[in-house]
Amino acid sequence: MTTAELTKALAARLEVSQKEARTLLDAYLEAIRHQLDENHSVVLMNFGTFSVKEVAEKRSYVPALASLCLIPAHRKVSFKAARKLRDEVSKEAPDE
Amino acid sequence: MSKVYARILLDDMVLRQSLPVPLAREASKAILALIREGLIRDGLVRISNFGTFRLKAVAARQGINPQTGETLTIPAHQRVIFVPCKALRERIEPLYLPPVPIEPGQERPRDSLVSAAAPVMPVPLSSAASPSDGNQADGPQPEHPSEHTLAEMPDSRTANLQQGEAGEPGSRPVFSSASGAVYPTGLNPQEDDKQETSERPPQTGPDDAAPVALSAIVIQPEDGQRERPEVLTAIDLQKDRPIAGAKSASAKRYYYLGGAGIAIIVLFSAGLLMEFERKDDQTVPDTAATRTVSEPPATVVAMSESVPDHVSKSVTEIEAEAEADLLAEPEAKALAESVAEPVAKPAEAPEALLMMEPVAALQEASEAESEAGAEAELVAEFAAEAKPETGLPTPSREASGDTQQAPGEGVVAEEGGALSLADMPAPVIRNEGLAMQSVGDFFIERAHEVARGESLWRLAGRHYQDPLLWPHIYQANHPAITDPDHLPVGSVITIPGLQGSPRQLSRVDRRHIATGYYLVYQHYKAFDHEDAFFALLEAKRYDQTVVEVDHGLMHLSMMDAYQLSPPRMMPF
Repeated sequence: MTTAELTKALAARLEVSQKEARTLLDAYLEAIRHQLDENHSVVLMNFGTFSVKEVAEKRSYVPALASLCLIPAHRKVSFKAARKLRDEVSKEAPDE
Repeated sequence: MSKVYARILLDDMVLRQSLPVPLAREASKAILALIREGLIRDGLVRISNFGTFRLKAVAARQGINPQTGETLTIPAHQRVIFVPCKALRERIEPLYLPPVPIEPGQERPRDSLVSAAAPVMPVPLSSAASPSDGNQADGPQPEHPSEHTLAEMPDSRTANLQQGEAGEPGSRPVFSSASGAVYPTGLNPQEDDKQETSERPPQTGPDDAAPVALSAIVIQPEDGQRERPEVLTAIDLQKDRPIAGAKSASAKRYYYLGGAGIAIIVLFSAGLLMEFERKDDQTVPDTAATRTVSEPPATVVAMSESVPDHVSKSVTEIEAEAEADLLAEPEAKALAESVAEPVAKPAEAPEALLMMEPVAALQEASEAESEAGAEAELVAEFAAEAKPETGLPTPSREASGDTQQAPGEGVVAEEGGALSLADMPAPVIRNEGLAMQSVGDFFIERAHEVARGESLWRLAGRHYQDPLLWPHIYQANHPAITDPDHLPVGSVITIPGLQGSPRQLSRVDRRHIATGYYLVYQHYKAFDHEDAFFALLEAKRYDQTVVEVDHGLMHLSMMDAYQLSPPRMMPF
């Protein structure tokens, strides 16, 4: 599902125009991004939690540089799905 | 790192991004539901500028119950993976440093830092004089420039690094072979120094006298680069912590502003609330009866000398009638009973302007018949004397059975306010000036012709001795006066009476003031005035029920408000 499909489905569900649906989607995601910016974890019930985690530096092989590299410490966005979502997708998703 | 929930996102959409509330609420639910459906249907949901939700199949495996130790089978299932897109990654970690090759046996890459060579500044760098040298943890240096094929990789991040962050010696790997620029000491890859990074502070520049200032160090990006300056505090640098722990400048700014604002607001409101609550503990809600206790208005008063008895008596009455704010009879009864208490206390009934004769008459009457049993007569007298005055808004208007709009609109609603104006002993008052000095005139409702230079704030200060109560006047004149900031000179406006006193507002007063603030909010919101949100907060503070429940703002805290949209005007 791409952003376009998501927008279309959202417009259909909310009965608004696609432009408005796109605006709403962008606003919602921007709200999440803003909270992540502020280093808050965003907990969405029955969906999951977006959080910002610190990754320590580590040494690992980077194929692009064809050598062992030091990957410096950084922050990353991580997402942990809620149990309900996990169960639902496990149950209903076609097994691959 | 704190948690926020869906409510905060809703508030963000509504307040910061100005979306309608019900639509925002529906959209949040629908978006998550659609992502879930997309995952089930396709196994992949890719959202631009955000990231990709993916499903990954996990085979069944044997697991061990950690408590009992027995093996159990974890069935095959799908795992939900989220991969943030590049824009989001960069936003969270703007100082993303690419990996740097190291020798297998090496702990840390060699730093080609420090050299005593004269710095050559290709670009003006504001942070040149403030070296940040504490980033050893992630300050790997390229070993040899020729090995860096990364420089040729089309990576906007490294391009940013080269041009934007050059002011930080020793903390950036510089793949400058592509750019060809010459950077201040330590960044030029030609310098193959093998100095240990443990040398701190390095002599990285001419202005190295105070290596790490105690103030935050801001790296100003170049024009056209990322617009987010990064703020590194000295503590981070000194303690050899990774840059990854730094907060964004905008976040810090909000925290500082919010913290300072909140400190002031908390102190101020604590002071105000203490005053309110101290008295509220004694008498819950205020009615005219308790008004007579706290502040002897010029007329009604039969204030008892034995205050505790009086207070306790009226408290029980009030609690019995707590639901009926504006009903005439209970209040008249309460008034009567308070009047029946021994001895009117002249107190601070001084040279009050309008009410001298009735005061004297009433006091004589009450003194003459201060024994219990004369209540009915007193009530009758009181009512009889109150009616012609009509300057007493409470008993007369309530006797006529008006509902809660009475204080504000009792005058305005009638044609030109002729009814009550005609009954008032004094004509339209211009420029009261010092006239409103006597305590206890707050309940008087009067008409006022706006003179030049007057504002609602000033009028409230003059009439209520508290300019903060100006929305009370605004809501009384609302349909007539739309703009609270502009009173047309010469227009006649109503200055309604307060049921309580400025120091001890009754519940009805608070509701009126909240209504006033809410009207102000609506008015400001219409043309996007910056104080709209503050007005809404104040409306909520005075009386929550006035703020529409559907607004979804009932749970908004001051801290959230400041973080979302710091008002430029402090509420005092």
